[in-house]
Amino acid sequence: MSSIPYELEQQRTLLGHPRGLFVLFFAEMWERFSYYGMRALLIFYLVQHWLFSDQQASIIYGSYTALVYIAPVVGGYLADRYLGQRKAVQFGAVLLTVGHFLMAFEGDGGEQAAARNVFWLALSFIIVGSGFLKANISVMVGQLYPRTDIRRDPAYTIFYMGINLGAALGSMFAGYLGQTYGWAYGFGAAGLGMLLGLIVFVLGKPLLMGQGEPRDPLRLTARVLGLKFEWLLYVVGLLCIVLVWFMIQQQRLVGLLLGSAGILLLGYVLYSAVFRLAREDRDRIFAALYLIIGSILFWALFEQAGSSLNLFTDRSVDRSLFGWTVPASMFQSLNAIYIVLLAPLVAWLWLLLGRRGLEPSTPTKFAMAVVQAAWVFWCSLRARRQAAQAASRRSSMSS
Amino acid sequence: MNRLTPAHLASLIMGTWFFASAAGNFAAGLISAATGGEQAGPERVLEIYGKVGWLALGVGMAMLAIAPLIRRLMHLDTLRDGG
Repeated sequence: MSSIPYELEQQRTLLGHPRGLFVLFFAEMWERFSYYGMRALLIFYLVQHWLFSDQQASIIYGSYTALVYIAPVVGGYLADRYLGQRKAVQFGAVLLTVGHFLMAFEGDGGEQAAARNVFWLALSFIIVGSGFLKANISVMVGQLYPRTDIRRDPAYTIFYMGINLGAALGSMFAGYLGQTYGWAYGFGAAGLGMLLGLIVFVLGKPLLMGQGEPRDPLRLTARVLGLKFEWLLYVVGLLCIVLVWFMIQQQRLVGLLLGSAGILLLGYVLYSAVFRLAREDRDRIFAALYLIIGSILFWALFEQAGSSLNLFTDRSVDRSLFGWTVPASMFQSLNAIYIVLLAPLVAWLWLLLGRRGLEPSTPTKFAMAVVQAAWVFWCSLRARRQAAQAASRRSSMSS
Repeated sequence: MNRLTPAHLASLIMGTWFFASAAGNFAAGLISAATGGEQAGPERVLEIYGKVGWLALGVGMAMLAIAPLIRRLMHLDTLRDGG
């Protein structure tokens, strides 16, 4: 129905892809720039500016990232049912821009500061904003192509490169500015990045060829409770921010809710699988659940990067490079950089092995990921032994 | 993950996947908190990392061992895309 007005746009491509892909590419690149830039600084901001203990700061950091993962469930639902992806992404981008700029509102710092409330609010804006933006912008990439278009997979590869580029640049720039010139500069840079993402997304609307629009536009303009339904949904978003603002200050509650909701969800899936599915489908659900549970352990190990490992890098690692001490937060960019460098290599390796019928199965790959992550931590035992030996050498020399 | 799930359970499994990522992130916070206990310091961090490393190594090895079993549960030979 809507394909005719976009006929011209459909013929205009860039690198063989619809131009809309690059709108999404840059919008998401800037969003990841701001998200990872802010995250690289967060644990230091908590410990050094708001004077939380390492323990408190770790739990807050964990609750924050956990809520960021949960929020897209709500944002995705509202977009699928009512808003459509484009409006949801736009609303999310506005919330994120506000959130990142609020982060730059330092106040006096310390334990009693009233400005801490602004800080909690900033985190809440970012959590709910990510919820509206993150999953939906990925869906939009696929919407630019017909279902069987062979350019779909390459499009996602290009899109993921934008994600990693943004993540790497964000930790580098915001991390450097924040730890060198002051928090507000780092968070301000993240906010500016997000603002650029929002501008790209709004200006690029014509290139999206009418994709991701609401299924039932009339429903959105109908009045409910004296408000346009669309605006009512945004009010729901704002109410979510208030709820998250409360929850992020009660981290135990976050843990409790995650645990109990997780167990309920697991129970329900198991129940449906055991009683309602044929044997093969049921087995597959078991396999999927096994992989999902395995991923929990992987994330628990992997996500030390932004919290305990970030603090450790700051306090106990020699970071001098040609006479310049590299701010610890900048090391957060390494993950994204390695993904860009190594992902093609690993993909090539699987292809090579696959051709000989030797490609490991998905469960084996999962297990390999856990073993490799474990190995990294196990290395710390050696580091510890070496540090102890070096210390004893030093003390025997000085005596 | 999507390929393993019948269409009517797809969103549910995706939701479970998001929940697991969230739970993993929260658990990461708990591990990180353990490194900042009363005797905090680089020694303490490395000690916790070592313990976590041994535990994860054990679990990872067990996962490697049962991987062929899980693979059989996936019934790849009869798996059709778009089904």
